Amino acid sequence: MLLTEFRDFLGAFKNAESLSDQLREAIAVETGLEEAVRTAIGEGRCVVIAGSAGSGKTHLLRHVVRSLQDKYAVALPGDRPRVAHLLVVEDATELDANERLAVVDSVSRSRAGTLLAINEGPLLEAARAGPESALARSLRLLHGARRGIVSAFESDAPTVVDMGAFDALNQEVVTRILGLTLLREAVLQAPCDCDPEDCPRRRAWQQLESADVRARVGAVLGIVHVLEREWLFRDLWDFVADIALGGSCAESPPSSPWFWRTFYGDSRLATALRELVAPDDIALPQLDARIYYGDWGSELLGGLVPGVDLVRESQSGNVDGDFGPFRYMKAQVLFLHRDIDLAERATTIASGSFRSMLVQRRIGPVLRAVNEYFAFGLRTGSETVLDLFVEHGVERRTELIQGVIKLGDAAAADFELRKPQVIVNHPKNVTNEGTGALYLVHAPSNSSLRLDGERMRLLQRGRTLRIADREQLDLDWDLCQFFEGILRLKKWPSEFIVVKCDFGRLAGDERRYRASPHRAIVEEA
Amino acid sequence: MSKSKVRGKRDFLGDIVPLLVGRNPVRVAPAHIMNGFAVSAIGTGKMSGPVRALVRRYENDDALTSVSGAIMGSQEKRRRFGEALRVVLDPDRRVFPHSGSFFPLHAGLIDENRGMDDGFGRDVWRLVATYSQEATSIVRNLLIPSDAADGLTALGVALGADDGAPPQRRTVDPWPWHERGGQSLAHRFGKALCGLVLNPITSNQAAIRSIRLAALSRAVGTAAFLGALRAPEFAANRARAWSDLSPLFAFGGVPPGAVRSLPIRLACRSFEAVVERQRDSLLALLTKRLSNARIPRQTPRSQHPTAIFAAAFPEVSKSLRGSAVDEVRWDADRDKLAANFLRKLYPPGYLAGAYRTIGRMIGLSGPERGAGAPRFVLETPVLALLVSASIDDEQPLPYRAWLDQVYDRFGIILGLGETLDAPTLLRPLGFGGSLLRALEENHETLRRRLVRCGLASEYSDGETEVHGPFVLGGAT
Repeated sequence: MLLTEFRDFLGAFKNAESLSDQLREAIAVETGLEEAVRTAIGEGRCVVIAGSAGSGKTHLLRHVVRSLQDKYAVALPGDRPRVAHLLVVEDATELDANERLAVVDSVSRSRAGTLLAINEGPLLEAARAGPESALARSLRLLHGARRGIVSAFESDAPTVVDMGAFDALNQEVVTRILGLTLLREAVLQAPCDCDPEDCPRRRAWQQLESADVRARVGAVLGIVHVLEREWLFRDLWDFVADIALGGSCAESPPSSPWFWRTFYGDSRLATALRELVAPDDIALPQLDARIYYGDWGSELLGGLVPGVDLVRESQSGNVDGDFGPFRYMKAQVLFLHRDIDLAERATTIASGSFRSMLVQRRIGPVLRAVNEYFAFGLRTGSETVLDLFVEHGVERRTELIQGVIKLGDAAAADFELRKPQVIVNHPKNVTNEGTGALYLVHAPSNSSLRLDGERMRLLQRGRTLRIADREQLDLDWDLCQFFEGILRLKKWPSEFIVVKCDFGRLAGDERRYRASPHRAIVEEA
Repeated sequence: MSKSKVRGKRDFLGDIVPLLVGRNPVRVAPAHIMNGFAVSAIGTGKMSGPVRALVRRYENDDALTSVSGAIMGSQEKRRRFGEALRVVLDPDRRVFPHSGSFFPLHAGLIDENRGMDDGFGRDVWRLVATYSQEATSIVRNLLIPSDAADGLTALGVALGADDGAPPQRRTVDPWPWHERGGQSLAHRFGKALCGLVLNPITSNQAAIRSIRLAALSRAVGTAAFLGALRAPEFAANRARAWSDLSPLFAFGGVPPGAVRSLPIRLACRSFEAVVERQRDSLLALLTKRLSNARIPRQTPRSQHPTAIFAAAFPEVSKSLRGSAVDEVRWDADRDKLAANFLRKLYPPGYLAGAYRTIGRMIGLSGPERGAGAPRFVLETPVLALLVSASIDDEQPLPYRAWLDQVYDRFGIILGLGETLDAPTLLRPLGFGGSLLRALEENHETLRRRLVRCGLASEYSDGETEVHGPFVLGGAT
């Protein structure tokens, strides 16, 4: 019965609301957010779980409620129980804006905490209806969290969990889902005409019984983030459904094994992986020829993750011009060979040095890149301070710029490279980094600059002088906004610097002056 | 062939059409418009001459007592300081050896208005002063700071302050649209343009002063351009809704855009239509003036042209009227006479070229040069200004509601709003079945751009909220 419901779930639009409690229990995996929500509730907090449809709000909410059921009664909006209870709003979208505000702002002596799941659209609507309400404050916290800002705890504002920022492709989550017993049963009992002992789908799934292999799959899925698209839990479950039940064993090579569908399946994730790391694009100089000619020597087989076997094609890859069998074998070797770190290779291929610099969260090189960018690369940028520039030009530029004006600087120690935050305003200061672009955050001013792949490319390429080159305009503008936010705290009260640009000699000449309004004097600093 | 003396002369209709394009549109740079605005608002400063001598010729002037002797006494140091000052005070290169307009770092640097802005700055000040009682104090406080919170303001105070009496402001005539009442679109538009000039960035005292000054300069130029585009239509008819005027559609992507894209083609079509309607309006105004000109019956036929022009344009100087009579092909039919006169006043292509040039400098039209047809665009700083001026109390607005607001205040169509029926409004441009696609494409392109340059937030369920610039990044 449960298996049938699970198969129906895999085959249909993935919607947590429609699951039975039993199935939800069976397929629930810890995301790391549950404990944070429970702790907040334990402190009597209102927890707002925001996110879009399919991001896992309902799933998280129900998971937490179930785990607290022994402790608290569950009350719905309008209920007034006298016992210690948890006010739960599973879908605030069903309420109108004023009802949403009333639920969050209502108080009861016996209430242990409030748990509310809400889509972002209705949250915006409610915040507009009550600009000073708790939901409006949630929205402000959400805004900041999206830009990587972690503010000091505010006891009178809700704790916010932003499922929109949660990394549904988190390696541990993927590993746990692929290891679900129910999923294994669904694969073993998938309708198939082939001999159960020799079914490619079932034999291949045995490879996933190795936690090491599952972790490798999880790591590889994570690289799709470089495409800067949004990935939801729904996408992950679509992928899982496709690798478990998609394809056919009757094709040649069979399209049913999980490793084949990981690259060549119909899910969004498979399409993204194909775009980034199709097996044909990953060169294995030692192994490619062996795989192609079906030379399964000790070098190949001995390098496999312990306890797993290759699912061999009866017709090996030596058929001229037919790369199907080769891809079939290579797809599994990429996951099963110990010496091949596909996730690492894919990362290098997809993002080059940009990621390596940012992954290590090194502030210095980022500051240097921004400093050099704004001064047209005419001088070496500092790694210890960020120069804060202002622009006086108003007219659309048609000639070479004469120089740039610096009005302050900020020390590298004040900056952090942060990802969007999933949990904000937690009473125990629990944080959880989400997915998406990195932000360069100036902590004292909360001014932040988005650093996505496109922006890093522009920063590394440099600010051009070509009038026709318009790509960088939006970045220039956002940089000025970023500088201005910091300048409010870090401006020099009586000094300014002009970096005179000499494009002929490719040099920037820095001139520092001091000005005093009281003595009305301008002098060299 | 000698240059026409009549071409681009604002005198003939300037009394009823403010912000009329003049004789030298190529000179109407934002810096000059801002200078003209400041002259009208505050008056001329005393330090522009000495500072200009230093910036352009590296010359010492006795009036520059605030600059240390170590700098002024050394030719090399003076040159270096002059060059640095030019970066600060003349970023747009609109300060010339004997005239020009500085970045308005201080009121003392306001130069006398030598007509380089074709009167646009003066007209924008007229508009702002009419609609806002606080305009004078806002502009004065900004241009004459009492204290210096940063090094550049300190520089401005040190250079610009003098011991003379505060500059005298001239009285200004009230803005003509103001008298039309709240029902009139012109009145509402005037109010919106005033809000654009005194926008939240300019008025935000917590913001860095340089940013506020740049925003003011940009806003004055933008208000001048938008006002100039519509002024002849407002003078010619009593529009109550934007649908009574020619639709203004602007490309929402990064300018200048791909020539063959649908939004660009639509923006070109809109530019052409707006300018054409302006020509029609000017023709209607000229026709009305010439038709209403009554001359004595006994006037000899040979003197009809002179007499009719004298009656139609009594405020215009006699010599200019004489030039008009000489240049315009005479026709007894007043409608034809008006058409002939308009061809002399604004020859075919003149207005389109003028708006292309002025708009390009401000960042509202393009491309700058080349074969591409002129179109309405939004350079990023102007886009930020538009966002700032269309969001009240720094409260973010849903993207579609913001599009409604931009249309409601400035008559600019950028995409598909909540209440704005853009397809119907743009139908007169004759874009056929591609109209909706062009609009949808522009809608999405602009949405992405707003997000990319930090003027909007995008949520994972597809909601986009537009918020003012310098808000999220600001200190909290």
